[in-house]
Amino acid sequence: MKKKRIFAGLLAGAVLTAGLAGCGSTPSSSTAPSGSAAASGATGVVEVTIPSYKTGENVGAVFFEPQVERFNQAYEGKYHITLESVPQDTFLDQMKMLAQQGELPVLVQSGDVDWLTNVVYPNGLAYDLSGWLDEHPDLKARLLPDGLAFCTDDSGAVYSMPLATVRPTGFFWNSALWDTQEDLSAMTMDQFITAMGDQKIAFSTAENGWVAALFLTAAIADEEGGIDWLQAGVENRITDFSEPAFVNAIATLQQMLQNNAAPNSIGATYADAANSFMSNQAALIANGPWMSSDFAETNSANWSNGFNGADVRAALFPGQVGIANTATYGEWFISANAAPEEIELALAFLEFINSPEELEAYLLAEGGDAPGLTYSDGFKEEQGKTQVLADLAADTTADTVFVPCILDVIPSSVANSDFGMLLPSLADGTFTPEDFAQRMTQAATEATAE
Amino acid sequence: MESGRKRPARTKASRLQRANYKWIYLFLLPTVIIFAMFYVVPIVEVFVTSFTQWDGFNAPRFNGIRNYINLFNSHSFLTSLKNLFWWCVIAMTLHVGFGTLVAFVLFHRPRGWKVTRAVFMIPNVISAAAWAMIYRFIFNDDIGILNSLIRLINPDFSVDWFYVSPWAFWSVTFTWLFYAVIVTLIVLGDLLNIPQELTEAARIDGATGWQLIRYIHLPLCRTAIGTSIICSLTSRIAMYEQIALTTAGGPDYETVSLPILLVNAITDYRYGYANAVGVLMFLFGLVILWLVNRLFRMDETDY
Amino acid sequence: MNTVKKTATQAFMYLVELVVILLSVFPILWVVMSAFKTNGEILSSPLALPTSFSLDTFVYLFETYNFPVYFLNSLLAAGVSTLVSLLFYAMGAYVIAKFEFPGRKLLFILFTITLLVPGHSKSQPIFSLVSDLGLFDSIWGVTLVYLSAGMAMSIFVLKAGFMAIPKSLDEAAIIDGAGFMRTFWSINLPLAKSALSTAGILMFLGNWNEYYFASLLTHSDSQRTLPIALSFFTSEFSYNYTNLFAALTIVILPGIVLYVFAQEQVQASVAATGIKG
Repeated sequence: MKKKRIFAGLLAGAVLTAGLAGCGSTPSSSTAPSGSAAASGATGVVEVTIPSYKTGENVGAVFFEPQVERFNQAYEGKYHITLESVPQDTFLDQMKMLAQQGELPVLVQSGDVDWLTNVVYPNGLAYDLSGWLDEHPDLKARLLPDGLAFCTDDSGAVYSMPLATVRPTGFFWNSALWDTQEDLSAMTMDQFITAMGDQKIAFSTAENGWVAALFLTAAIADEEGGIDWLQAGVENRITDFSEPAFVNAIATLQQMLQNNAAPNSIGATYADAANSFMSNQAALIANGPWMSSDFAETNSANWSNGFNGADVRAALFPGQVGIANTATYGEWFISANAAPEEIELALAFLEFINSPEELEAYLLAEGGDAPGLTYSDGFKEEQGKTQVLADLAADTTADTVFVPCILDVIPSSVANSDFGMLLPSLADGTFTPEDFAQRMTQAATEATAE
Repeated sequence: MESGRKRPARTKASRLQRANYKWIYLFLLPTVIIFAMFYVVPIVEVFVTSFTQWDGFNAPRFNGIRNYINLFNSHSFLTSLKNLFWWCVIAMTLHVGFGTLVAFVLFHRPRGWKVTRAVFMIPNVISAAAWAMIYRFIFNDDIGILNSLIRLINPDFSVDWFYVSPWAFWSVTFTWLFYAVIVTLIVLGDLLNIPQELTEAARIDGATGWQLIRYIHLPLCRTAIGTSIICSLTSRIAMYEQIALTTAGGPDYETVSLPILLVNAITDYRYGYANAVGVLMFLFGLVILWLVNRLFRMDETDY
Repeated sequence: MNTVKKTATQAFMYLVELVVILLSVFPILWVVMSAFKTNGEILSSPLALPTSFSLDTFVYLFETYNFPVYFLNSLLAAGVSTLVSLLFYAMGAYVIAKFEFPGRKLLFILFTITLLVPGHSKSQPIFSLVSDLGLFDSIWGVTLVYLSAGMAMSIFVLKAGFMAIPKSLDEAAIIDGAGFMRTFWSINLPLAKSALSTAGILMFLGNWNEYYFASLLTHSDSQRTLPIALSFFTSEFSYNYTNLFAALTIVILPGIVLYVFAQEQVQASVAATGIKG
């Protein structure tokens, strides 16, 4: 590592000299890179730049960008955060590279579990939050116990800011197309499929097959032993898919794909599925509660064919299943290399976004539940104004079963690539459920071969 | 006539060269420096770590040829080899053939040849990613333009081009098959360089249009065609966006490529395995370079 | 007989031209047309012309994003790197094409295998190089990286170009007393214009469209290039086709306009040298 850098430095020196001799238009470092480090101006304001993908067109930006502005206002004259957008698909790559250079930004917006567990935490790149959390018992009490336990390592250190909210994912249905009065989440999967009749589901099967994966997860949870099988995958990624719960659930999924899939579902990306739902081509779509903003009147420009967002209702999956993983790392960690005043800023930011007001604002915007938070008086009423969020809140009870999404418990490459690659053949009947399971096992085994 | 002129030229030049070594190496220096800055470390790293188990950050652990054994036991890898083989065959014949054909047509300057040449470049002005996105919409069953056109004739028509066997392979192929402007440019460049007297002399000897192409022009574009084949075959080895943004390799690995596997392995933090894929991509490329150089006698000058 | 054949040949040539034009232009036209439709229109009638001509989407995009800045950044990174590396590679290709010297074969092989280094394998070493030079999040860092991008292809094309120049011309120049530099600069370089323009265009387009390193090496809005801007419209859970098509249009069109403009210049200069014979 060290050697390589010196080498690179030498080469760089060589080329700069050569460049000057040769032409003169070689890049010079005269344009100072802004970097991600803080610059404490003369005003005494600590300023930090955070690269984030929750900006611009990203669905997360709707809530996140104003939230950062609120933070800047709350700490005006003391702290200032500037957001810079990095495309989501290279965001993690950039963080990995910056980590390697020891130049992570002050606040890092997550990363995948493998990277955090194998690289960031063991190499001391993340700031230990445990002491700070102990000093803020109110805040600590608001965090999800499962999440806190998961983020606390054997030595008691907490590197990732545990989540305070859980956002169980269910599905949405269009009451203009399917006017059912029944309590869908109280049914079994079989009852649900019967009740659904020939209503269409907007599946996405391309990319990572997100919508299909959600229904599949629900179907697995409905099978005997399915819930345990999924939950065991949180600790050890699943590589054997011969489990009957999985094979049976695949059969259910195949049945849905063949009988209930909206036209154009095979090869549909998320965009295709969402558009299919928002143009009355399908009566159902599975997705997280953040989709609620798409059904607000402000988004009506994107509706077509008589679709009306006000008709949309939501429910958790049959068997009271909500797809959410509570035993998980949180969204943020703080770089251990940051300067003390930057760490103070970062801590203030984490405290800010986990304050009761901000948590409630978040829940109202993107849905979900904060079990550790005592809601303020107007909250429930406010939440009731968004029909789908009220529906989901009503379904989320003590009996709700939380299961992790299948995509989170299998090797990353299988989740990102192989699963979606195999779905079309399942949908068109080329594969039997057994074939599909066997292909998945094969892919997962190859992806984890040492 | 050709060889007779070449020989003395070579020996003469080489005497001159010795005095020019200073200049020769000075001329090579910038390229060598760029090579050293950007390629030496990656090439060495790819080769060395392909024999290790490595997560890309912590110290790599040597594990012999384990990665290669795993690769050759992998279904997706073997499928990607098969795909690569067929894509190479198609690239060498249809793709380069089409590009050369267009070059010859443009060479004869039919009406509108300038417009055609300019317009042919347009798909290359657009990034592979944007192009792949465009094609996903063109081949989309529901809103795609292709099926919309077909449905004007047959209203019941419905094929998901990118997601159904065997169309997926051909749909991915189609995204690059006819976009051979690089071939056209390279070949056309060589055609324009052919001394007019050669053509005139052949004409006087009674060569007809087709004979002129077959015996004079085509052989003289040899290097250009060789270069085109190398360019298009190496792009086939490196084909990523066209697949990742359309079929992602499916259905059932029918369109999987080596770079897709490489990226997947990186997703799983298996940099050693990924780099083993990289090494093989490298080796295939070398074989192609060597073969084409041999077959097309790329090192010899014609004039 | 002969006229029939001639007509058939003519017809065939026009057919080829027609196919080329259709394949190249049609998809773009469709994208541009779709950018003026609403999401609903794209879904319900993909072939139809837009019902109303609305610039709202474009206004929104230009108000929200600094497309002119991205355009200039792209132009700077691709332009500067292409000019500099074209000179470098022309020098390298020239000596490889025209001279015998120890290490010639090896260097040529080394230069051409750069084509085969997977981008993802280069990313880490290049990132640390750029970062150590203090050029992270600077368009100059991106420019530096682009210098290396077209090495193999350019050396290939340029070497072929220089080899096609008759050696008798070099000899004549040397007899006239021209030195190494002048033989290169005044004799060979002008005669290799067609190869130079091919290599230059290819390098420029490659860099103009490059996405991965640009997104890896920058994050400020002021250092962003056009391809990065496009990626914002394809991020997870986005579904607005109109915005996507409009963004595609904004990203695609400057490249095409630039090309059409450059094309004239390049062709004119090539034609002016009149190297035939």
